[in-house]
Amino acid sequence: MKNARRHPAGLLLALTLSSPAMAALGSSAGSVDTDRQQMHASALRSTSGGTYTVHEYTLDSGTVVREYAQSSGMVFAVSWEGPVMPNLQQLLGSEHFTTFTAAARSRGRSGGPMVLQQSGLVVRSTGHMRAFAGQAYLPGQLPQGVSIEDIR
Amino acid sequence: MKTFADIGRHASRHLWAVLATVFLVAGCGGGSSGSSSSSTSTGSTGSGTTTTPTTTTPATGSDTNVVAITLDSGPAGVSSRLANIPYVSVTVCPPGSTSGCQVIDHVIVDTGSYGLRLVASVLNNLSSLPLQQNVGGSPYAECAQFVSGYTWGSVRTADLTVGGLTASSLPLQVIADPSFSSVPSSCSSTGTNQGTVSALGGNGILGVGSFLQDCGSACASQAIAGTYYACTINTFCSSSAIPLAQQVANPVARLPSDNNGVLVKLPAVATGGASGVTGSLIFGIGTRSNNALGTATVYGIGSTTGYFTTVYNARSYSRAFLDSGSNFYFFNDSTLTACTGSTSGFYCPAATRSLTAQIQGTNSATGTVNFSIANATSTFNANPNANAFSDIGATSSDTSSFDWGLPFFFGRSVFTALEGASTPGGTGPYVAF
Repeated sequence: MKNARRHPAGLLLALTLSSPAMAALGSSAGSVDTDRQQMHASALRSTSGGTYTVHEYTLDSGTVVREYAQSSGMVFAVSWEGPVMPNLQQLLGSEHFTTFTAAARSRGRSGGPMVLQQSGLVVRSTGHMRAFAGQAYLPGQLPQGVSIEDIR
Repeated sequence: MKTFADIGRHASRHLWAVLATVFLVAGCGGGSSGSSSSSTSTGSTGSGTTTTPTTTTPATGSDTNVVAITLDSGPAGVSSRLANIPYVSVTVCPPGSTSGCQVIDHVIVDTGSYGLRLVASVLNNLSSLPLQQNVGGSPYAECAQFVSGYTWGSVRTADLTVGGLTASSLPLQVIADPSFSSVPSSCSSTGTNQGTVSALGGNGILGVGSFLQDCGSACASQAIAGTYYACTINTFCSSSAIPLAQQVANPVARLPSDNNGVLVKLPAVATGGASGVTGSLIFGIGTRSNNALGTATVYGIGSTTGYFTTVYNARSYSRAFLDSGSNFYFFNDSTLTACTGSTSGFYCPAATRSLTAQIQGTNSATGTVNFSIANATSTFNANPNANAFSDIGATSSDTSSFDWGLPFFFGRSVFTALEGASTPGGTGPYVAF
C-alpha cells in the first residue's frame, strides 16, 4: 500500500490508485477497498493531513463518499453527498446500521432530516430526493484537533 | 467544537417521538382496505369504492387547476397524531378508462420529491393499473429513497386526475405492491422501509418538486444500485437502467396545461397552532389569473440539487431548500435552547424567538425571511387538538443544511417551477415567494 505523503499542517492531495485501506465505520482498515468495490465506485483518492486520512470515491450515481481514518487505520467518520443514498449498511457497518434504522422507525413521520445522537454513534442524514448529504461518526474516536465540522 | 457528552441514552425514542408521546398514540393502526376517510374538512366525496368519475377530486370553484389542501389528523388506520402534513385527494383510473376509478384521500403534497406514490393497500383494483415493462416484458420496480429510508414497489401507469386536470398514462410507484414483496438488499441497505400508510403518514405522496423524474438521466444510462430494477415474474428483481419516459414522473409535467410548476397557498397560522386549516394546490405558474407570480421574487435553485443558500446568524447554509413534505423548520442553531425528554431534537426557547434569515438564489436574488421559533414542548402540550403549527423548529445537527418545512408555507404563496419549464418569471428550476 502506498503511503500518502504527510504534511504537518493542512491537507495535501496525494493521488493513490492502489488498494488503500477501506472499511465500514468503526472497523479497522483492511488490505482491500471492500467498500469501494462493493459499491462499484470510482478509483480511490486519498488525502492525508496530520492526524487522519480521507479516502474519497464516487459512486456510479455520482454520490461522493468519504471515509475518515485515524493514523491507525480505524475509520472514525464517514460522509456522503449526492443524488442517491449510498449503501448505508456497508458504510456504517451492520451494527451501526441497525441502530440507525431502529431510530428511524421509532421517530415517526417528520419528513425532515434524520438525526441520531448517541454517545457511541452520531448520524445525520439530510437533504431530499435527488440531493442527499449525511455524516456519521463515532464521538469518542475523533482524533485530537478534529472537529465535527471537518466531516463533510 | 461540540462536546461529546452523552446527548441521550434514549436517542432512539427522541426527536420525532414527540408525535407518539405528546399526542395520543396507540401504535400503528392496521392498514385499511379502502382509502376513504370521512374526517376531512373539505367535504371530499371519496368513497373508496370503484366508480365512474361522476365525483372527481375536489376542485375549488370552477378552477380546474386547483385542488384543496387540508391539514388534519391523517388518513384512516393511522392512530398516531400527525401535524403539519398537507393532504390532497386524487383520482386514479386505469389508463384510458373512465370506469374503475378510485378517489384516494390523504395524499401528501411534497415539493421535496418527484412523482406519485400510492400505498398498495389503499388501492381497490391494483391489477387494473398496468405494470411498466422493459422491452423484454419484464416489469420495473423501484427503490425510492428518502433521508432515513425507502419506499419499495412496482412501477405502474394510471390516469391521474387532480383538481380538474388529468395526467394520462402517468408512471407511478405502487408502494409495497404484494406482487413484488421481496426487497433487494441494495434497496434495504439504504435505510428503513417506509412503505406503509403509518410510516408515511398518508395514503401516498404527490411529489411536485422541481425535477421531472425521481431519478433522471443517470438511471436512463446505466443500472444504478438502489434505484430501478427489472424483475422476473413476481420476485426476482435486479438493478436495471430505465428510459426517462418510463421513470416515475412528476405529475405536473404530464398535465395537459398549467404544467410548468405549482403554487402552494396556505393561510397564516397563529402561534399556538390551529386545526381545520385548508389551502390550495394550484397547478401552473402564470398560466391563469389564479397563479400569477404577482410580487413574488424568483430565487434560482441548483439545477441538479434544488438547493439555494440561506444565511442565518452569520453562517451560510449551502444546502437550503423549501419542502412542503417536511413538517417543521429543520436547521442547526446551538444558541437555541434544545428541548429535553420526549421532545428532544426540537427547540424549546423560554419565550418565542423572532428570527431572521436571508435567502439567496442561484440567480443572485436575495430576500429576507422573518420566522418564529416557539417552545415546542409547551406548544404541543397546550393545544393537543391542533395539527398545524407555524413556529416549531428542530435541529438538523449538521452545519450546511436548512430545511424550510411546511411552516414556511403558512401565510405565503410559494411557487415551485419545473426544471426547464418556461414561466413568466424565467426558466425553471426555481422557487418564488
